[in-house]
Amino acid sequence: MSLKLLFLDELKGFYKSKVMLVLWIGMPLLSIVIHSLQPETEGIPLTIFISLMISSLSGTLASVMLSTTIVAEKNQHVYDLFLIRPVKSWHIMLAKWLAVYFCILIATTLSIGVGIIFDLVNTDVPFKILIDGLWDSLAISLSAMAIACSLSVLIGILVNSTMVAAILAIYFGNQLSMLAVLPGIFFENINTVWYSIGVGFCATIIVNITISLVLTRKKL
Amino acid sequence: MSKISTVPQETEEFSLIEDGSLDNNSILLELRQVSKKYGDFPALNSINLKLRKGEVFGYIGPNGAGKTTTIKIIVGLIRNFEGTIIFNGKSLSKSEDSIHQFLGYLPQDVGFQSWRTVNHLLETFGKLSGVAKTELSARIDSVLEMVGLKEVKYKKIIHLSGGMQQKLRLAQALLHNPPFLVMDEPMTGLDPSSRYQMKKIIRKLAEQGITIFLSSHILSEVQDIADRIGILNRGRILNVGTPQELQKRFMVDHQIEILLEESDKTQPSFSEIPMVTKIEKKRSYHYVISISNTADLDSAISQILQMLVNQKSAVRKVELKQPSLEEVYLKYVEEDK
Repeated sequence: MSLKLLFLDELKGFYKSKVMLVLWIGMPLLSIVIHSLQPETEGIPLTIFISLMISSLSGTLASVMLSTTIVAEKNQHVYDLFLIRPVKSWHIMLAKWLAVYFCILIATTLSIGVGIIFDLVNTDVPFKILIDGLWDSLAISLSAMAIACSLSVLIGILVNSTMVAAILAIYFGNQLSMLAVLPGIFFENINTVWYSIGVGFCATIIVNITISLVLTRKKL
Repeated sequence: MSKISTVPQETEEFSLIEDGSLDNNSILLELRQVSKKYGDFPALNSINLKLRKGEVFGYIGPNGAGKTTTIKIIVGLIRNFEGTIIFNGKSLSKSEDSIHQFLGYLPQDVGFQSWRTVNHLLETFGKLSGVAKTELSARIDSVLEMVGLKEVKYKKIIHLSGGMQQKLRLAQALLHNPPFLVMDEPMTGLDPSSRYQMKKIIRKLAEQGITIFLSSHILSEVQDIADRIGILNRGRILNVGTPQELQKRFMVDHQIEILLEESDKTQPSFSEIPMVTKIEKKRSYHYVISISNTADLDSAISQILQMLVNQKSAVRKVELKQPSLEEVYLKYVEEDK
């Protein structure tokens, strides 16, 4: 009950603070602008190019935002008023993760939708090739972002400085999360889609369990 | 191993006592041998405290005395402590959350997320506190009316003044109509007008029968609203009682204020009276005489009056002064150093 409420509350927060606007409208627009400025993306169709870009830009943005927000709210004791109610601290964190990930998911879907339309109208790349290439990069991007965001939550809980949290979120959250899913690209005998989804899912679950364990010993 | 304790199953159990007697049924909250350490620093040292249903309990002590630690233990924000907390006579496990529905908490220094409006904050906390959807809007209006924030209902919280934000903290604490309210330094950072308003609201809540636990480091903030006061210093409770009891228990010399006619030149010789311990001459016609607290006060007063009559002093006022509660508090804290 409280998790659903907290999730909707966080979404409302993103909506009110215009984060959604940046992710949902800004990212697809930015991708089109970049493609217009440099249409030759090394032979990669725009659709795939966009999904890779989203994984890098919005993943970084979301990771940094998550970790710094948690540190700032923790330092202002914002969570005290939640925790004196029947609310579990790990529910608060999970709701944040879910809300951010939901926003990224929508942003990615919108961007890719725009990209597919753009490619179909402007290029001769067949739809099937577009879609085939899309699944791989999408699985890598979304898995990496799931890991990055959950690592950022953990960083936010453990660190007390927003600056340190931002730096750690960029390096550990965003960059290292890609390492977990990259083998899917380099090893031919691995199914990229299933490998990335599997690694992303397992790593996210492990990090979230770690978060809940940390929160049994550490006050928010 | 410590325990946070009990919770009644029904709110009706919070009926108020009328006679103020301290039987077991009248106690809402009890802290037994509660201790808390931060590293090697003992923030609380075997605190024992009983809080009666329906009373306003002032919890005073200097900064760093352990007031906020006590409060955070009571409201469940600190769970790693030693000792037992008993709530309404029953025991609960430490992880029990059901105390929350009976408790409102006004924290000392809590921020709000910058995107929230007053209404949105209260909606969220109302829902989390279990206020029914059908009642929530009316409850929000009611608490905003009570704290005087109705006109800023749809404003962003970051645009409110410090005083208004403090009132909002109180509003969120009252949303689910709790019978027990814990307030950590509620008057801190408020201007005199807001302090007055806050005191008025607290009095109103007390009249409604809400049990209030109120901390402050300034005695004057609580002495005229608290039924009982506990003095805390360096993690230990030094004394608990009504303001009058604390004054009585505090063994200071009696003080008699004597005012003569301004033109009086008689120079009364108070030092001749054996039980006089101190003579304070504020003006040529204004004296404050201290009488040993072991002396017979009536005898001392009659001797002073007799002496004034004999010296033909033009007496305008003779008044027995009680030590102020502020003096009592300061004395306790000073002696504990």
